[in-house]
Amino acid sequence: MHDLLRAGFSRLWRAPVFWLGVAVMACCGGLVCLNAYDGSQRGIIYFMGDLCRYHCIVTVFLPAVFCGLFLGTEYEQGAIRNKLIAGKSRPAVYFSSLILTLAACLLMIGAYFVPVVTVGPFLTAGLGIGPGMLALVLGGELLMAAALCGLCTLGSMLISRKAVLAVTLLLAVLGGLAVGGYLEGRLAEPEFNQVIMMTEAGELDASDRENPSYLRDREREVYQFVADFLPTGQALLYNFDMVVHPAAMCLYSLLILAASTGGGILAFRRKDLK
Amino acid sequence: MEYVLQTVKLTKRYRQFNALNGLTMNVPRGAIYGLVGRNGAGKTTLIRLICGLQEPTDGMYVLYGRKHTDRDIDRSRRRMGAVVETPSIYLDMSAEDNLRQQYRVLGLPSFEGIAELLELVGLEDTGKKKARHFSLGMKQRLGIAVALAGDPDFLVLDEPVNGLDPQGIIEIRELILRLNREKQITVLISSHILDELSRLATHYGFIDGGHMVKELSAKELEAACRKCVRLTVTDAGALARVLDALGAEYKILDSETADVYQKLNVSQLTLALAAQNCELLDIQERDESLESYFVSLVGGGRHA
Repeated sequence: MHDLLRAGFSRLWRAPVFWLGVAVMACCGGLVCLNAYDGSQRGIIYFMGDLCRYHCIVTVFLPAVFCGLFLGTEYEQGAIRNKLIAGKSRPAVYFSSLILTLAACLLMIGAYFVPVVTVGPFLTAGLGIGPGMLALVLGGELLMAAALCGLCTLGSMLISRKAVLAVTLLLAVLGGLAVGGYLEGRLAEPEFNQVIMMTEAGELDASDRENPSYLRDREREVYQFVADFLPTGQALLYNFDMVVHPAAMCLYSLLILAASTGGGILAFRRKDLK
Repeated sequence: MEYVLQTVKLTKRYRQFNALNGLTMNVPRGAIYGLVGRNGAGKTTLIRLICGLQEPTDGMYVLYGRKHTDRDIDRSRRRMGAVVETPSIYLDMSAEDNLRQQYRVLGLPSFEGIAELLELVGLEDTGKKKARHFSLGMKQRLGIAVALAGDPDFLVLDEPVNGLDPQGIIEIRELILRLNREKQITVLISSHILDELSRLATHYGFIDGGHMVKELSAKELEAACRKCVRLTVTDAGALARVLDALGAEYKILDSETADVYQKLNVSQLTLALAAQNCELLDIQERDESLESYFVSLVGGGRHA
């Protein structure tokens, strides 16, 4: 597998899609800092914890775009055949693709943190959360990205047409974000709505009424679980600071990564390549 | 005879369709083995199987003495290079970068030999030009160069001249012949362009409907396709005596017919046969081409 990684990284360093991803994420980091600076001029206080989570919505697209264009080329231009004919095993080909995707996405996310870490401390009023919690959230964000890398690698090893792959992965991410957005919306519903009514005497009467859309008991647990479990749901939870179960989310991401890799290798071993 | 590749009752089924149907073939070391068959006969499926891109449904193949089910079959596969259907190259890289990439995949310690490889396939002057801008023939030659990285002793080429112009066809043919003669590389080449194959192959496998119809050497094929006169007589034994007396090269087919591989004086032959109480019933001139031989083997109706 060492040879495959060597070949893969040598291709990565000259891949426009990788450098485009790095540039986009660095720009995102710069924009977040610019926004924090702008806010500080208007008296809005930002914390480093906030700046460290604003990348999540963009991050979910990184594995999809990277796998669609970079790994998709392997099939489209037949390079994957060269690896197998050269005697490389299918699990090795799969693992090397996964490691490459993980490394590429990690580096792209790293590009976001370059401006955030260098400029952010001067624009924020401290971390905003405890260092332990910040580390857990940052780790969770990376694991969320890793889970998406696992899923996108699975897709790219099983779908041999580059265009179909790219469209499928992007639609899947968009669909996942839509589901995540719906779940977040339902979970963010207030338990009570304040109803203001005018009495006959002309006075305003404010009272709290139960919100029928508020999720309760078992239903809320299910919605929360799905939002915690889905990588796109996690991305929204991190992004909008709605994380309730950070440790469980990390565990779910690891489970998704392990399951997608295990299942992907099994399916790839049986796949008839053309 | 030592074989690089042997397949035994190899079968590949896609749902209800049998692409390969118990195919048995033997590729001798040092041969240029022409796999002949019409479109859909199973040539590419066979190549995909032996390259490890697909698993057989049934049967087996042996590559350099290792069965395909052996754990170390990858070691045999490292001794082969292949171009399956389209050349496997990165279009956004130059010819040299493509070869460097394949050297890395193979784990070769240095890039020595790339210049020679480019020269061998006639791409030494392409410089930084990206493969995307290559002609079809150049892409095909680059694909072969990539397949040759790592010095394989067995080269598998699937329809290598498909879509090439006459000049490109000649270049590929000369390259294959050079690889076989100078580097002793065994070549398995599939094609349905029979005329082209006949200029290259030392052995042939005629495949139809997923199974081997006939496997023979170029010499045997040449004999089968040789220009001859087919004689039908009342007594083949008498004919043999007469032909021996005339010093003619011939082959007795049955008790009444024989093929004679040289021009005959018909009057002289008739008189000689009459002296042996044998009548000459029919004379046919036969000149079977590879194409007509193929059609006679697999039946007409569809194109090769």
